Amino acid sequence: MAAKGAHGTHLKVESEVERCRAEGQWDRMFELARHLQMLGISGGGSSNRRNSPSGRFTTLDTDDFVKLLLAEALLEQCLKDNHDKIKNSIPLLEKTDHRLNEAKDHLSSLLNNGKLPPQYMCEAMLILGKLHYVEGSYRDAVSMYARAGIDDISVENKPLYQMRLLSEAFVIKGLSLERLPNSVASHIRLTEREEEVVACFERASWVAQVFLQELEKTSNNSTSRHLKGSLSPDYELSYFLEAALQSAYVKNLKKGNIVKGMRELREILRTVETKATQNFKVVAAKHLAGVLLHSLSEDCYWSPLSHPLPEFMNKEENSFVTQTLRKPHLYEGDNLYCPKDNIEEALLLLLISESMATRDVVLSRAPEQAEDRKVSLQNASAIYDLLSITLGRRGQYVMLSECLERAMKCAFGEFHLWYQVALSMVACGKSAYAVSLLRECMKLQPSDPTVPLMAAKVCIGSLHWLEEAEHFATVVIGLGEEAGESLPKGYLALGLTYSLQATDATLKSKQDELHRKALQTLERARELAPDDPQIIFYVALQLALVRQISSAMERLQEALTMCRDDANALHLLALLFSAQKYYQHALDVINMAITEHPENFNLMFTKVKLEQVLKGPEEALVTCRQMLRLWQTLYNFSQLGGLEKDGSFEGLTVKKQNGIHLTLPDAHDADSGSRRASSIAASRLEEAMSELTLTTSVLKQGPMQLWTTLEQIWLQAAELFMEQRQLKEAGFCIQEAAGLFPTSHSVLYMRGRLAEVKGSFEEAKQLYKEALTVNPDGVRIMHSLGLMLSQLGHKSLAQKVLRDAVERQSTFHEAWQGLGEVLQDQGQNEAAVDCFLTALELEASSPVLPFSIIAREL
Amino acid sequence: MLGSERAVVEEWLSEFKALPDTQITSYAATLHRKKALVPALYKVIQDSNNELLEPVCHQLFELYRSSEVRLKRFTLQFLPELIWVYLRLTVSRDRQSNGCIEALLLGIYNLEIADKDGNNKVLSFTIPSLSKPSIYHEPSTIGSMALTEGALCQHDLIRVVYSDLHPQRETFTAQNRFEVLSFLMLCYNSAIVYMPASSYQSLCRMGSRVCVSGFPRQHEKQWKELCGRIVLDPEFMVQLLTGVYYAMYNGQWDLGQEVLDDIIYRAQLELFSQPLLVANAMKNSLPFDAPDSSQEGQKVLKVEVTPTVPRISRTAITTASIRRHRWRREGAEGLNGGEESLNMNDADEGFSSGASLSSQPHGTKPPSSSQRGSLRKVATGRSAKDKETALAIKSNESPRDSVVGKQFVQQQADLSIDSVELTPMKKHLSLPAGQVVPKTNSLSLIRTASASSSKSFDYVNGGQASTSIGVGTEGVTNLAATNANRYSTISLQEDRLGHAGEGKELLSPGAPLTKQSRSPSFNMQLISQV
Repeated sequence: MAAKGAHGTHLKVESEVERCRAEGQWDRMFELARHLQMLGISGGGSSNRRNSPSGRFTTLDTDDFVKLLLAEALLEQCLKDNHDKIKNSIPLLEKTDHRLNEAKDHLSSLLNNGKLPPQYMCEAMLILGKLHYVEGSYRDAVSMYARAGIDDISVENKPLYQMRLLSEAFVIKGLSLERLPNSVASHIRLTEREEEVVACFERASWVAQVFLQELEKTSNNSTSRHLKGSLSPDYELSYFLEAALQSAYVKNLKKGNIVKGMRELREILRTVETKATQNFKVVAAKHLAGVLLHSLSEDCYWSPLSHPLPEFMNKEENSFVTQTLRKPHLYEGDNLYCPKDNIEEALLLLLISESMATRDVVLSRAPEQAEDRKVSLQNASAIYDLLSITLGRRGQYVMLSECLERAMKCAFGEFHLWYQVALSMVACGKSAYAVSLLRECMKLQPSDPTVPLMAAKVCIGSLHWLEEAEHFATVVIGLGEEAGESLPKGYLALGLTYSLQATDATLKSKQDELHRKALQTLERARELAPDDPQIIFYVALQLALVRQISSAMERLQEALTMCRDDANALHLLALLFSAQKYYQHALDVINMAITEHPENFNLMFTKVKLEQVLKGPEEALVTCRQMLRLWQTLYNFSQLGGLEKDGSFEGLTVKKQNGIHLTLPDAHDADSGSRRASSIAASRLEEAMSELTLTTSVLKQGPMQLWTTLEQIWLQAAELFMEQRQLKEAGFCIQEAAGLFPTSHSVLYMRGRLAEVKGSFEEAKQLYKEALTVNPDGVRIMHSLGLMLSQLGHKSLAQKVLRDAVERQSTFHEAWQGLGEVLQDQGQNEAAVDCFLTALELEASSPVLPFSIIAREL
Repeated sequence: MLGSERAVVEEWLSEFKALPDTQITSYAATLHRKKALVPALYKVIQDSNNELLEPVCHQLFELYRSSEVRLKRFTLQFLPELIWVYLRLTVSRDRQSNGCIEALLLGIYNLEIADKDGNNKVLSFTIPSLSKPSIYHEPSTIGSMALTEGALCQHDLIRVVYSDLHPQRETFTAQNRFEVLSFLMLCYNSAIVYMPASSYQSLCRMGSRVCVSGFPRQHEKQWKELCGRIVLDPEFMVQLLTGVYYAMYNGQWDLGQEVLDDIIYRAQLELFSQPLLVANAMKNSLPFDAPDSSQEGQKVLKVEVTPTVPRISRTAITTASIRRHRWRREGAEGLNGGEESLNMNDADEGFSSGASLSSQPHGTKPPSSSQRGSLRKVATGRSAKDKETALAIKSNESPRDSVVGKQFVQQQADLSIDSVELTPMKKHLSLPAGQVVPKTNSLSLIRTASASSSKSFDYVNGGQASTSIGVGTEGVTNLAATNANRYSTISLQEDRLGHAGEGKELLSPGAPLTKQSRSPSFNMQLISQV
């Protein structure tokens, strides 16, 4: 009974030994070996006598078996401790590590004894081979493997750990062969050896994968049996197992065999992952994504399930050793998604590895984890970089920003990640978010002038956050010399901000002050960068805004020598000509500009105005009609979107948006042109209200600006019809515009005008008032309202409204004239004369459309 | 231009003209053997006064139009040079002289925008979804958390059109210039694998020049062709980057790096976010040294066997660990409250590996009481040094482990630190709630348990404010006096605090790591404030 018990224990210990050897738990081996030795002494006799098939050891070879176990455990522990040396293939010396010595003694003694069954002898040889490699005796390693006959070892129905041994043996053989000195000069011999190396690596990789899958299967079984996970979730691969998994593709890629290397990588990635290979999979996926991105292009892509194009097959001979080995399990199923071009494949791989890598990023800031943090962060950030390259190539900045946003949880203190997230937000138009991110970037890298400049650009452009823009621009200027070539841009940003603030300001004194500061700052920018056409252009524009027409012209000509087909510069030139009343010149210039920029509506609105002045409403209406037609051909994708509902539409709009930014008039407000804070508020209000009132989904698509452009075209046409006294047509046009934005102040204003022309003054007054409620800064509305009030006899109220108008926009000569008339009616002749004089003076330098319709952007 | 070069070009011009259609295939196969031809053609293209320029452009277009793909690629290799010459002429005075180059570029563009049947070519690609199984993954192995995040929550593959609706163009205008050129670069990039090294060099040259011409940096350059600033377009620059990235890894390491820097320089000055984003990513992802300088022009990649196990200490707080922690807690909450559903949509949930199986003891244990849940939450939030504490507890309990069986002893070493942290606490503390409380004889056991856990609390809180120790200990000792209710109130309070912490904006830039930095100590302080 006792013997049986001992035998039972023996079996248990044996299976435990096998498990530990498979899982690489070398610390426990010593204990187990001791245990086994004790059992061997006490129970050896009985098992020998009974000659049980499962009692594999006689008394004599228990010792040797224990030696084998000890030798392996010693060697493996030594390897673990010297991971870096092995990685750099620095030989370990017996002298420095007694464990190596001990292991070697054990192994050679048991090989000399030769008492173990052949299976264990073979194992001993494999372990000794590994030891030789570690010592740097590569030739010995190779010959030891030849002696063990590794090419013929079968792994079927053998304990699991043998697969590990075999896989390691193959990879070590390959590595040894690589490192053998090239004693043989023959080229053929060398290539033969190369091929053998690759073959070894390939087999090693296969065996390793099968081993890891089997290991997981058994450990899962035991998990369910014992309720507790016996395998730690992060099973740590030994160096040689890692090498076994990676060497095959590394070797191929190093040799420049993209096709073979990729095939290896793809095979590896297609095998069902195990816990142990998760980390490895991230690395492999990253490699493959990299190869797909920088060594392949769309035209030569072949999918993972098909064969490469013939022209690639020729380049690299395609001799793949078909093996009789068990294949590792691949992902299988009916509806597996398989990528169809290199970007898709790279994206899929990166998304997979992103989801795996980010989970392992160390978040804690404890100093003892700094190193871990760094490594894990590098891993994750490499993946995000590749994602940026992939998605940027296809213009998918929205998706990119969403991906990068996920990186934020590990981005603390990392400038690069913060900056990339911020840039992706700028790129996809999430401006407010971008600004707060950029602000953080500035803290992390205060010396970089591009960061605050980028923030200033976003603030000036889409956000219209002028205070913030001013702050960012001052930061750049504060950098001084350090800002280098960005310094003039800093001044430019500040100048533009002042200029825009001047346009927004409601008090004349404030306006004048800001205009003066703007001009000063812009001139400073020009001094710093005398040949930057952008800066010179904005100096010219600023001069024009303060009605210094001739000096503006001078500057503009300077800018035009450098950028002759810039839309804004040509537009300004046309407006300047119109201010000097050279209408024909202006029209010529605008026509030229339109031939260079045929889809720029902003230019066309000016053209309409010029034609209206020069040739009368008839011809201007023709241009309006052209604009409508153009709008239709450019943006009639609403029908198209209906046809292809599934997502293609999304790309379309994203695509188009680019163009829209460039070509559409910046402003909703046709009269004051450039964006004023209040007009932005007004258009937001309209947006919200039209969303309430409109049920047609067509309108929801596409950016807002697109629809405001259409509205403006209709209203422009309405105005022209009114001038021609075609009131019915004008009414239709307004109705069209009202269909888009029923509560828009421009629509209300135009309806007021129509009512006025029709003679229903009360209605007109009411409409003007409504329009003014929506847009309290609309000077044209005030002007019309003032005149209307005056006509209705509310003289003092009219005076008040007109005074407001000239206060808001002191260059608005019509309002001055209207004010003069009202004052005259009220009998204040002196004041009226002043007003008329001002109006006259202003009229002399007044363009057909305000200069502020030209966008001021960084 | 030398006479011999001229002769080569002239011969090439006449040879193709005389070629019968039947021999085009064989001609295409041999064209690359004319070694002197390509450099000579570059010279012709660069010289806008050369009288051969027009016939050459014409013939290049003929080649592009032919059905033979190799002839098409022959023309395509000159695209970077053609673009450079065209752009240079747009800023110079005499615009008329580049008529034939413009015509060639527009000709290629007009051929490329249409497919075989003359329809507008629509280029699209699919954004893969992790929730659909692919040849590389199985959705179940990727955590459900990862799937709910951001763009991945879409359960269908999305087809995105990235290039379409390009109209035919008869002339270049300032507006369509870069639309055409970007599309041409897109075509070039698709076929870049087939281009010879000279074309990559030309691409890099072009990239550097268009970015730097007219800017102060030009004075640092070797080349002295002065010309004004060339207006660029962000999208074109991204296309340029794609090509440069390829060239860099395929033989043009040094040139490629130089262009990359020039593109970054220009993108910074112009404040173009898109090329800057992509170029920064490229620069950051480059290896420190050349792929392999010894084999110039070869496709050689720098890859090493890299240790894949990121030797991250098990105690480090990662998204995954936070997640595991949360899972456990949520599990407990779900069990005790029954009201809180498992909230799987947390933004920072990372990846649920198979690991969660083994680290989730709930499934295997009978439902725990609220006490256990809350305590475990305390336990999991601890830092590295708790390991020792946990081990101390373990030694405390070891006498009773014989009941659990030998198997458990053997597995102790295998347990992940998470479970090591957990098991002892749970063992002790679930006992009072579960079955022991009614029995008086096991009261002593509870006392030992509570003593040990309060000891652990002392240990944990050692470095912190003394109040925290007080509260922590108090809580536990109260339990020891079989005051179970006390515990659940603590747990509730703690829950509330925990949620308050989570309520903070994850990405608020001012406090970037509110949630993540919930380091153990932070967690403890939360508790101690109760």
